[in-house]
Amino acid sequence: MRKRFGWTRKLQEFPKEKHLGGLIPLINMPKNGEGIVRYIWAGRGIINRLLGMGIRPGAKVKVLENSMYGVVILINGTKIGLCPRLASRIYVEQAW
Amino acid sequence: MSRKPSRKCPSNSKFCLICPLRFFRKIFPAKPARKIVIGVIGNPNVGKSTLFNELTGAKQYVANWPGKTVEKKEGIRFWKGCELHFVDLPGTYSLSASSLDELVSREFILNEKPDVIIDIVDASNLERHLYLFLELAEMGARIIIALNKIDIAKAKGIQIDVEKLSKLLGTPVISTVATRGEGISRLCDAIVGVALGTIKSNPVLVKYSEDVEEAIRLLEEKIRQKIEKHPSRWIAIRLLLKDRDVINLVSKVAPEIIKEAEKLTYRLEKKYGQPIETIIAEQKYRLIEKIVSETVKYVGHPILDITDLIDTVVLNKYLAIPIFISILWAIFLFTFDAATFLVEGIDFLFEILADFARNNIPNELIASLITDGIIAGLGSVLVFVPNIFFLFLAVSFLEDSGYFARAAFIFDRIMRKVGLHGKSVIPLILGLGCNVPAVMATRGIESEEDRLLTIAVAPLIPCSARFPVFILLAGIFFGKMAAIVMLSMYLLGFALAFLIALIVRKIFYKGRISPFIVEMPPYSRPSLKSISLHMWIRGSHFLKKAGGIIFLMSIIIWFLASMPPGVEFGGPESYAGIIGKSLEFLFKPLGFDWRIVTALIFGFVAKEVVIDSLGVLLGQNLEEVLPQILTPISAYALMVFVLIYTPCIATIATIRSETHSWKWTLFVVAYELILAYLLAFLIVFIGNLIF
Repeated sequence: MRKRFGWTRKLQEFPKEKHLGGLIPLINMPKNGEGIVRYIWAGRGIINRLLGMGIRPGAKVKVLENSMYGVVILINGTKIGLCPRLASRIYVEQAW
Repeated sequence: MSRKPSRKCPSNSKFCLICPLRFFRKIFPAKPARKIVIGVIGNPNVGKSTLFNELTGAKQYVANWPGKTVEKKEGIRFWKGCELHFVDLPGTYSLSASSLDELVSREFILNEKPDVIIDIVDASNLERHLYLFLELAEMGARIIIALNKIDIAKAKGIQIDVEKLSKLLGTPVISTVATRGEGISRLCDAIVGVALGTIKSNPVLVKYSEDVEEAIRLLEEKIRQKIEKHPSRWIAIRLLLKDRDVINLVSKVAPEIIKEAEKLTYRLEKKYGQPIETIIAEQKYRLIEKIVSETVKYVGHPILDITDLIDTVVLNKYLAIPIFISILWAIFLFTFDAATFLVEGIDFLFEILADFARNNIPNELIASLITDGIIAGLGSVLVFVPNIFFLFLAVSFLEDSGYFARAAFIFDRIMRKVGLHGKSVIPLILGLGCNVPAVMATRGIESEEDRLLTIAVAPLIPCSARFPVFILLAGIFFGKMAAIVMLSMYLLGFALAFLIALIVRKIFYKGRISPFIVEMPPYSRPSLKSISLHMWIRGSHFLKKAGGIIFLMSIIIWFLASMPPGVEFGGPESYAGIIGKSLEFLFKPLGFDWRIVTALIFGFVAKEVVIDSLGVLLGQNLEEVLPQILTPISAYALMVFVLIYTPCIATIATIRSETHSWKWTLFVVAYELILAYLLAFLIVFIGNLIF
């Protein structure tokens, strides 16, 4: 087992002071909606995984499917399926 | 890592006695070739295993990384007087060591210091794939980029200026089409060139924004004095990113640096209002964007994407599950019906072999050991081999085609409710056919916890070997109700699997389920070569690993059944009979007598053996004898007991070889025995109260 360090960030508190005007979580995006990722609220392991897959602030996303199974997004030409819980933690600026 | 001697038979076979090459080499030793160690890395779905197969052919050996459950594949190719020793690193998106795969890859690069790293990059998706490249570059590796799937990129209207890309990245870039074997020889040339120093590889490093660079510089100075083994810039960046393993490493030599890094990270996070990982990644992507914009041109319109068309149907709210079930049905038909003729052939072969041995070995004891012990034991397991190979063929086909990612996505929500992961669904369903491939199919699950949990519950799924036991008992005792009783067994199996998953998750893993992210690769038609190689490697791995344990267990069981000398095979005076009798008191409350207990002991080999043994112990006419020694309630309890108690030898062997842990294997066996007993007891107890 690897040791856990005391100061290693736990699930990061969502910054209250952050201005969220106009930002909506991926899970609330309509099908075929497009937007730009602005903020990811997740633990270290997941953030690293998402960043490695190209889900990062500033990346353009398109929602291909949004159903009870989860959300399928298109990012940089790659299709990625996310569970609803994770999709509700990725905030996007919707492009109209 | 164990290094094989360079002078060896290219077939890589340990047991090759008649190989002329090896014989020849023994007399005339070959000039020891220069050995070059090459790590092959890339994102998942980039065609890494295809390229690896092209590079090494079938000359591969599969093992596990020392002490890890991650599979390690190695292969050799001789090229221009050099021995190229390829090591297949697990497919990862980054090297942040947040998963076991990433940790394994990173430790290999840092500690083994391979001569060359081949980073496989998808030409149609440069942006994402170059992220891994930049991480590799920071680790100070000598990299060659294999620009794979260049044909698909062209078809999509993507033009890449390879020369310019190579100049900007500072490494050789070789365009390849792994599925057709294009570019392999140029890649090998580049490997030899880079390893011998005739071709330069100085991968470009990211220049971060000034405040980040400042922080890196501050840390780097201090690190340089203390740690020389690893590149100091990389350690500084990882420290800023609060990388647990790097912190462990540094805290041993210089704990004060960690405090410093902590402070710097805090300052940066506050300034940017983003977590540090995001800040660093964003700046990496900025460089990537710049490189991509200078080298990639989009010409013409991309052709209509068939993947999207299929996905709208396959992921449809209402159609998704029916489609999944029909595909599953097709796999089942393929594995169990199409392989029937081979299964019967092997069965027939073993019968002939047993007859031959019985008739030709004069010593009765040895004849019995060989026929009743070894041949019967191995035979009972080897008859599954065609099924296993066919199943792997079907699974490899679906895996390569890209459907599995969709299936996992659809089922994630349901599986999550019972404490499992979306990717557990495929192993569990395969378990209906045979638990062995079910346990092996858990390889697709990335998270170690989810994987162990799936392995633990997979043997509860009633496999096809339990079917004959159920059908016999249900037919004798329940008459018209037989179908319902049978169905109840299947439902009970799945219900228990989910229940145990939920409980184990609560006890061991505190209710954490890793969030579900899956890349859905474009659908593609798998090449026959690739899937058959896949099937062969996995299937032969099973044979080698499980074979030894099965062999041993068969001898033990034979010993119990036929010793002391002179007793009837499996009779009351044999050790098995004695054990059965001495355990009878335990099973009295369930209404089982010693003969049933003995049959259950034999059931360890394979569940359908329970019926055979009962036949031997009770005389052939089971329909008449069984109702005399069992009540219907006890019969139902027996069915439940057979459903749950212990996986068969082959499954136990597979669990051991997949988990690399006797502890976990014993845990699975133990909990199943206890659960089986408790449940059977409960059924008898409640049954007797009601009826």
